[in-house]
Amino acid sequence: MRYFARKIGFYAVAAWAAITINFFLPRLIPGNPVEILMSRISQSGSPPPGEAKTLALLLGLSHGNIFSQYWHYLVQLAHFNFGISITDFPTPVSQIIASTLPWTIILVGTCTVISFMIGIVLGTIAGFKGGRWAEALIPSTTFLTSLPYFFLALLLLYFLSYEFHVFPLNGGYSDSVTIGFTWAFISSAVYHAILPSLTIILASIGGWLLGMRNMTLTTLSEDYVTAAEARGLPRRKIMINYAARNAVIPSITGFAISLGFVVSGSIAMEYVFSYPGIGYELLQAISNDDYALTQAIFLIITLSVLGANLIIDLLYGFIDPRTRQSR
Amino acid sequence: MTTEQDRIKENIRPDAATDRTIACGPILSVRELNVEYRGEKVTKAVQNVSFELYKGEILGIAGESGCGKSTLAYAITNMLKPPAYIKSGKAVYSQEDGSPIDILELNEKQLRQFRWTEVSMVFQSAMNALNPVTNLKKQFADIFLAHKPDMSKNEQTEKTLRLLEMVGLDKSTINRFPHELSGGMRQRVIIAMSLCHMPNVVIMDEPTTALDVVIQREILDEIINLQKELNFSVIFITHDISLLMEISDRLLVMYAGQIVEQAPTDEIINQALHPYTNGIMASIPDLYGERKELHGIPGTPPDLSLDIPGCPFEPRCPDAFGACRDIPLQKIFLADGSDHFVKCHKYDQRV
Repeated sequence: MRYFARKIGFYAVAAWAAITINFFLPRLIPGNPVEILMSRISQSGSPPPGEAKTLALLLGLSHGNIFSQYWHYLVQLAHFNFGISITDFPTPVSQIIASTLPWTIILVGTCTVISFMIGIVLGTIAGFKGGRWAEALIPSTTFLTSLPYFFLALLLLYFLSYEFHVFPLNGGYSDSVTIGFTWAFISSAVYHAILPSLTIILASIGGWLLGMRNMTLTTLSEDYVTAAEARGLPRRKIMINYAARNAVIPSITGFAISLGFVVSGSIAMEYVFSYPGIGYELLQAISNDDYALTQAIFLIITLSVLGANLIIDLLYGFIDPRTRQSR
Repeated sequence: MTTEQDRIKENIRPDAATDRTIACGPILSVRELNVEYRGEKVTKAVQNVSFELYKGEILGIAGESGCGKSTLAYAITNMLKPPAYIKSGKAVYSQEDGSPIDILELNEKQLRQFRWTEVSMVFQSAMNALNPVTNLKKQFADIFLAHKPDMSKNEQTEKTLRLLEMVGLDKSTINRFPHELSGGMRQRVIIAMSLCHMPNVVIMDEPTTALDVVIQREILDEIINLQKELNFSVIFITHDISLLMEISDRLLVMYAGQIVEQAPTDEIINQALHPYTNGIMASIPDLYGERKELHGIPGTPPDLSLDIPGCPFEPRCPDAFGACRDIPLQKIFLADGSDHFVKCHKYDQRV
């Protein structure tokens, strides 16, 4: 129990540091959101007098010195109030995030898990059984991984959507359906997700496969595997409980890291497929100097990395009993 | 040497099984076994090895490292992995009903059934022979279920506890993980595991080598007691011939992949014939006798990928003479019908 408290404490401090840096960093960037907004408003007509001051108030930029701003920022965060977006003025940032984050988490999260599982299973079998198919599988998946991701995505998009119309060109769902828990919407969303998923899985599976296969080979030469064979254990049991169970430990660490990057890791995919996720939103926010939105997305990325690491840290004790004691 | 030999003689188990057991016929009979390692040049790790193991005896196999002891142990149980392979030979095991089977001819499924129920092994590296991520209860259960799939959970636990007790471990050990045990405890667990299905033969490959001398002694006593109690046969492999002089009934001395001398242990103690056997015996320190200089054997074992027409020990042998270099060796029996043979031209009247 003390261990858990200590871990959670550590991650709380890390989160606080991330939040604080997240507050100060944008303020070091030259430029001023009020000026940007003003110039945008003045493009469509002259702004009313005093508009700049009103905007500053609205964006929370007029509250005294930087420390009182910082305090204000923390209080607002506690209420999930991230301010107002400039990109979609005047939509609250929290609302934008709420509408884009699920798209990314569901699509990229599912793909990460699927890719990890397929990679681990194939890697174990390739390491344990070897043979001709494994020799062909490893270079081909490694080749897909080493291709620049956007190139692979564009290639698939060109052939499967543009030339042969198997999959839709872009978007997260068809324009003809409304978002809701209906069959029409869900089937449309799944249909739109297939091609992006395929590209993510193809591009990431090679890494898992190669890592797991190499670790399996290493584990196979361990004495406990030889001993298990001498004891007459069934091959399946040796492969899963003795070889794979030990070989998977390093991959789990890699999996934790990639889970943390679910939120931020697929900006290229969302851009290529115009997918309504948070990566696409981040790109727009940055190009629009949308401080509030950028800041909020960065914060979510940081927290998700921390959160994924915390979960794996806590799980590690179950995965590897040797780490339980040294605490 | 005499004081040392006398002391060891006194320590020999009074019921040395030699005469008693041979009458029953061998439980394991290895015939003309040849094992090679593939490579740029073929390494002949085990050459024409034949021996018998009788019921209830401890057979010692001694020799320097690199002389094929472990390869022999793995070959007998058909556990060799490439690049090692069995070139020729048989390892005939007499089943309970008396019918012989050649272990080297078994297919994968038969081998799996055969292993651990008939012949089990205690590995050299106790540190690594246990799966680090599961507790002992689970690992014992794996062994039970591999051969008795319908054994109940209670039965498994009960039997595991009994085995742990037998090797002198506390009951609570059952829920421990390997990393929580000391080296000696792990070796005890490994020994307990080898007895899960009460096999007739236990092959012990340097079971005490990685342990300190005090623990070595405890483990050794444990092995001897268990063997007396359960009457299984043991092939005990070690480089420490002094240890074998104490516990084994019969002794094989291996050099360069061959058995160079085989004899009942007390005959080796009294009358070791091969210069190599004498050499390794001369390198044992004497605990009680007067201080004397110890003599190692100068040089190292030969490269087994080279063809050696004569005696492989010739370059290191103090007694070598002309014939040793190029005349092939033969087994020379001490007397007709004797169990004691040596492969040395010194004793060959024809040379």
